[in-house]
Amino acid sequence: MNKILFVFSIISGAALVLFILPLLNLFTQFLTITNSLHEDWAVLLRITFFTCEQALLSSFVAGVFGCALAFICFETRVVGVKVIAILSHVTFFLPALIVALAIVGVWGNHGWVGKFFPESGVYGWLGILLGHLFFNFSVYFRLVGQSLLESEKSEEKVALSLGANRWTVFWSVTFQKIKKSVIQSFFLVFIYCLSSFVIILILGGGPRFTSLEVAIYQAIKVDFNLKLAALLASIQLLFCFVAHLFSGTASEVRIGFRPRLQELIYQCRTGVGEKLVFAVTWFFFCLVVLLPMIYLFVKGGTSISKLSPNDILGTLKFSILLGLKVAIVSSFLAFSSAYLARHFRSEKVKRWVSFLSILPVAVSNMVFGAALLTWAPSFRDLGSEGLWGVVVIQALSALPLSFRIFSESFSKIENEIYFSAKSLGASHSQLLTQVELPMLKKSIASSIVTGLGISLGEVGALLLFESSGNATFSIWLFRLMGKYQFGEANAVGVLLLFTMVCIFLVKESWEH
Amino acid sequence: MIKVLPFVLLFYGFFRFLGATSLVKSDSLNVYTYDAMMGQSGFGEILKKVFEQKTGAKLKLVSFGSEGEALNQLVIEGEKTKADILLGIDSSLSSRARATKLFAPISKELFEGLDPVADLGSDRLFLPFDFGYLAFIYHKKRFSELEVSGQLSNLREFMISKAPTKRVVIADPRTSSLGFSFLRWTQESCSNQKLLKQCWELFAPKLTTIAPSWSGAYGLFLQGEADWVLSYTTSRAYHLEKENNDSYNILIFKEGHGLQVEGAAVIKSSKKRDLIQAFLKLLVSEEVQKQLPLTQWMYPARQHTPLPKSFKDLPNPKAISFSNELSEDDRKKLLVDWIKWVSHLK
Repeated sequence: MNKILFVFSIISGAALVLFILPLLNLFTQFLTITNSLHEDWAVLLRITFFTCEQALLSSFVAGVFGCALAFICFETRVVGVKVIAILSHVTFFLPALIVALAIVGVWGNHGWVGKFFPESGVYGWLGILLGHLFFNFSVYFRLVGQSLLESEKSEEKVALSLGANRWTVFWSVTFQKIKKSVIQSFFLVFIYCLSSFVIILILGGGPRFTSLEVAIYQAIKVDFNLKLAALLASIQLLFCFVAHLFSGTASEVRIGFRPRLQELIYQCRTGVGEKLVFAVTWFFFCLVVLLPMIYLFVKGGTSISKLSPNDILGTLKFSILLGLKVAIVSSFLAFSSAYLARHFRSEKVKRWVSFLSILPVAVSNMVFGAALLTWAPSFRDLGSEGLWGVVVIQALSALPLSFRIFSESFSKIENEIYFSAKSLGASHSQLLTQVELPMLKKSIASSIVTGLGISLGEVGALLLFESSGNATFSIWLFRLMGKYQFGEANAVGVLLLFTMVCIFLVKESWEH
Repeated sequence: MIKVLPFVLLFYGFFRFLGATSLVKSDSLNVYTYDAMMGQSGFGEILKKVFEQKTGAKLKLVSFGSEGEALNQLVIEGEKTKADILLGIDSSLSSRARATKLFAPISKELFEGLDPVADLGSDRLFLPFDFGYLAFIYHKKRFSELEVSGQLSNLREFMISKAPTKRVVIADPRTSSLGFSFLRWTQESCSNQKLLKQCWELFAPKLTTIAPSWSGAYGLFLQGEADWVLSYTTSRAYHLEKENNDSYNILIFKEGHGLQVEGAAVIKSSKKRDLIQAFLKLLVSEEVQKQLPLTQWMYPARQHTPLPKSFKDLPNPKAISFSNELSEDDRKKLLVDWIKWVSHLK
């Protein structure tokens, strides 16, 4: 084994231990004392069924919208693709409570759109689907969009020249190329929806719509029933495992935004058609994504002046510094794991590295935080003001996405490059520093932005570990809401949104 | 360089860990509390400033997402905890806290002069420092005061009457202490289980939604999503004081209103008796108590504490405190039943 592989194995192994041991400790409690659980199993079963039902439906709806948007944006010439791409990045990282209130502001009984449909009501399935659509369409948009961008179009051209119509070409050629990214996005979104909490509680409209995550919240934060929490978390993990098996371990797509090089096959032939596609795309994008964001701007914009500039700067500094720590740790871990997955000879090891790297998706921060604190209560004091606890949890949240970014990029480095470098006498460290790192520059940027975004929008780990009163934008927003200052909270939401957009703009401009 | 980087990081982490586990100074007091106390010009900050000025000792406020989580952390740490005081435990958590046997009784003289309604048990394990009355808030433009007070004299009527109590938003009793206190209030208001079930079944269709927290519920109400929101009588004081807005009114029931009391508890294993005594004395002193209305938006537990004008004008309802403390099993059963009632499950 080469030295670098050894070092990365140690790092990934240490991270794995830090992730697995607390969870094992939690699950052991459940396994040893299962008999003492006095739960209403019928209710639990119903909750599990509903959790899967809503996750499947939400993944499907987000898939239809996200794939259609990706196809229209990358396969035709719709004006404003870049705006859609930037906003798609942002939606994924916003705090759920502010999004839920913004969706109610648009679709609620007195909302901008909802008031025209007083009988329908947003609370229930409509609200749950809209909320999950807002958050998750971007997963499809980015992954499927990237797949479309990077696929070669010569087969489509041949099929068209042989007389096939564009619909047939799409189903028999293009769709086959993106099928894998669609399936992978579906299961990724499915796993995210499994652990949905605020959206289901607020937009669901009551206990009729109770997900596993609500039961976990109650078990961990209210009843402190770790046995039940472990049981429920096991169910979530089982679903994640099954979803992972279905989606396959190897992935073919990469998160990132590249200029298109391919010819447009599906471009509208008439000007009217083009305008129609443009209008329909932007109409639905506005309804689902843009209006809630505009609502946030309108409600918060006027209150920005009420926030003290010192508080804004202090929070910005704290958020960015914490975000950078998270981004660096998660990128480093993800890079190590992806390196192992690329260079280990055993296919079995590769599969396990890949599975373990995406496993944190299935464990909510709440479960992992509780497991960590039960396993090592002093973890809360680790680092100045407990911030390393936050960094560990947030970095593990970002790991699956960052790992996906790096593993895709590694898979794009052709074997011939390795052979050539080795035949010229390059050592493993030279290969890493002079071949792999330069080729992965864009992925490193993407991974850092992902870690930063997750850290900026995350609340749970900070509430659990940060004890000194320091605040990120998300925590500040929650504190303001707790003190009746909803206008100011919306203003902080606007600042958070603005910061995220700026970060993604910097990344985009750097990439090009 | 790249070869040694991981080792450098590992060493850095190791030394940071060593630094973090240094012993806590004996001239400091560790107080576990919840996040809403934190932040600039929050009650926690004021308390810290005054305590440090008066005693010369440090006050370290360690915040958690909620008071329940702070208690959970104490349970995890057990007697080895570094905490000396738990600040912010409320009536809905007191039975659970009592069962942990982690707390020591508080000296009797500290309870002198406190409002009798702010009661957290006769065993003196919890020192009350603030309280609030649960109430439904409505916008004046939606209903006139006469319209609602003429029709509704108690909580049962509010829950079952056909009009005007449509479109209500409450906090979920499973995730919010306010929501749970409301469930307890309904339990007190309905004399038996059958009536309680009926009330909730008739009330459920009027609920626009059930939010996970007070802030979620109040946010929806301010957006116009509901005509009524479950909050505290002091919500009106906030709008009067900070926004000079008289539009929000409180529905007052003649039979009385559910009460939520917050208290502080002393950790049995702590050795810093003098500092703890000084802290508790300060907590219920007039100097600190008069800060509560405009920071926590709750009534101070000390009687005759000067109140801001916005508080003085609030109606002073009869208090309904929850007569019997629920055991853990009863609490869980109540919540399971509640889910069935509001979901119309058989």
